[in-house]
Amino acid sequence: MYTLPKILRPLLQLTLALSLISPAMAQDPIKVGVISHDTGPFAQSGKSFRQGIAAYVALHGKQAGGRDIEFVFRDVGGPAPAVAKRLGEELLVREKVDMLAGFTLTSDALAVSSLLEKTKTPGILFAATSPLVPKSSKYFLKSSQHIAQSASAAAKFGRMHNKEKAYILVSDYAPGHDAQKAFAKTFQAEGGNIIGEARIPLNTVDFAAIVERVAQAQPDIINIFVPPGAPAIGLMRSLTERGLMKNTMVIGMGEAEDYLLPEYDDSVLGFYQSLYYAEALDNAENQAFTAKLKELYGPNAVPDFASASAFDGAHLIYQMVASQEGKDWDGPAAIEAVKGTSWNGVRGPMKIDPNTRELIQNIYLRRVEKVDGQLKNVIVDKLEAVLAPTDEWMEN
Amino acid sequence: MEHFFGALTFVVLYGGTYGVVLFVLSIGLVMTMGLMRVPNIAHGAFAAIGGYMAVTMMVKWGINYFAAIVLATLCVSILGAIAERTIYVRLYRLPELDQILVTLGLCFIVIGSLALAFGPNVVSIPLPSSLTEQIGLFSRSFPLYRLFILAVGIVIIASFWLVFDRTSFGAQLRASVDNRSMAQATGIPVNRVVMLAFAIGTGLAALGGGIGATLFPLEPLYPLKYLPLIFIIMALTGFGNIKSSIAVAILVGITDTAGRYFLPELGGFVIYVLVIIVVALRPAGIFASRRGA
Repeated sequence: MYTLPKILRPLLQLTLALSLISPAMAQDPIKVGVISHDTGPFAQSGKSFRQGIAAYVALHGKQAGGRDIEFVFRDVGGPAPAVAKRLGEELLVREKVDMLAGFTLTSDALAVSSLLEKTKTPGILFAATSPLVPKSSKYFLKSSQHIAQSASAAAKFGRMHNKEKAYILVSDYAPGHDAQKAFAKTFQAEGGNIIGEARIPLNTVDFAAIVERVAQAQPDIINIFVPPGAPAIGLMRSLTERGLMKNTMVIGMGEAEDYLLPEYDDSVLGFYQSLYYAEALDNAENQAFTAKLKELYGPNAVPDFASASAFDGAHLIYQMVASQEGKDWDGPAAIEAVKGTSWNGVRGPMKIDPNTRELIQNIYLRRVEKVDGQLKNVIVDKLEAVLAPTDEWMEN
Repeated sequence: MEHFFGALTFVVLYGGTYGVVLFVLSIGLVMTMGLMRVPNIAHGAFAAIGGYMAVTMMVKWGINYFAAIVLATLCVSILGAIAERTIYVRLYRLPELDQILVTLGLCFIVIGSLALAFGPNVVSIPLPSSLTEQIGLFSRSFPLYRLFILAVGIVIIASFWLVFDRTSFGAQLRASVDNRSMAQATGIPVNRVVMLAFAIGTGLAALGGGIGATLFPLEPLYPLKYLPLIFIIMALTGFGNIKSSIAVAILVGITDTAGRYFLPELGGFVIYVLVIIVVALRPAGIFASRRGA
């Protein structure tokens, strides 16, 4: 057995002692705990959250409503709701945060919801899109989307392109099921037919078999929802090998964002995505955001929906803090103050629906094309001020 | 009828190619498991290193696809030989739990290093244009890439057969797998056989990582992600039935593809049903001989 070298012990003790002395503050800052993933399979989201927040702080300063705002990050490190809950407790009890934010996975958010209820702490969802989350606590607000906003918009875009016969392919997990339902319902309501649906197991490696089945059904539009990374790349390649990318409209949600495109080969050309954010948006906010990202993280830094959500989420947090100017911090009052508020985010105009606490926002249709020899998502269409569906609509 | 032949060709060709990649990825583990009885959890890591090496050579140094894969295979088999002589050689006399801990640790080290060097996302391997073309068979088209994999598989299987049955190294290998101490007693340099077998096994894993990179995309978690598949092949093959692992891998590939084709939502589980049946009825391996069991 090894023992700690003698000199290390006093050093460690000193570090521990120092860490227990909290510096005295003239005016307490508002602390925001960000629960995300810096390691593990969802590490991209943590990176995006940090970049989005850093860009917002660099553009708008550290203060709102006369108070400093401080972000504290925590890493869940994998699909582990119990860890998310423990980190939430630690942030609330030890760090004494005034708000929580982040939440990569729906399961992370659901694990923390009871803590928000008990402590009346606002939680801002940067990524989790499941309709279950806002239902689990009235203290959740969103800077992402309701999954059905993009999925239903995909169906509408399909009908706008005169597509009649849809095949739906989703990964067999909760977000996939929500997306499948919303697309099918909207596509049929708009007069189209669903000629086939399949839920693909998450462990699928070779997508050729399922794609063969889809091809034999001869759809003219294929709606997909699979996690980005290996599954999306494999599916895209199989669709192209079978000639479906060329001959049908393949539409997904966030499978091939700009930062992911270097992972793909040309098989992804012609792939459509329907989502609440697009890197190519030319509004002033997005221009400033993209420029700041490149300034902070180098010329190759590109935004994605997670960093855009974090940026717009940071704006929402600043608004909430500003609403409590001159008063003691009151989380529930800050939530009430921003209900119904609207502003221009990097995604364009957005508004918090006071009834559902969901966002009313544009949904963009993008298509992967080759611009100057590089794969890029080009905006081809948009739907304005898309409302999130009601719970009744989702359930029936 | 034509439709039926189309579907059949599809299942055989796609399932077969999937099986070939599985075979190339897992054969090394089947061999070393038989020879050394070390459950080498880090086996997938060698495949990942091979794949990443091939991509790096192609993208950074502009080496041709085929040359890059051959080079990566050679480099990784040398790496495998070194790892066997320095790390694995110390594991043979340890209990299984320690072997698993060390090899799992190796696996994590590789995952961390790959994430550090190449980032957390998938790295794509650019296929040469000659492999992305399509070829017509039974009134529909198949990508040439699949046929290429099949051809590589046939070459490997044939050379395996030759080495295994017709060379003295093959005889020594068979002897060492079947009864290590007896082989040693007859003067076979078992340690060298083990090192060579380990090098060949890791080299083939690297080859699988390279040619299979379009089926099994390269990402830092690769070494753990595809380990269950490799273990399934190993469990169905049984200890050291090296030759039967070819049939097992292709059976798994075709069963999986057929399952996913005919029953899209449950198809992913057909393979596990196969595993349960085989392990229940023939725990020594699907094609294991009854002798000495």
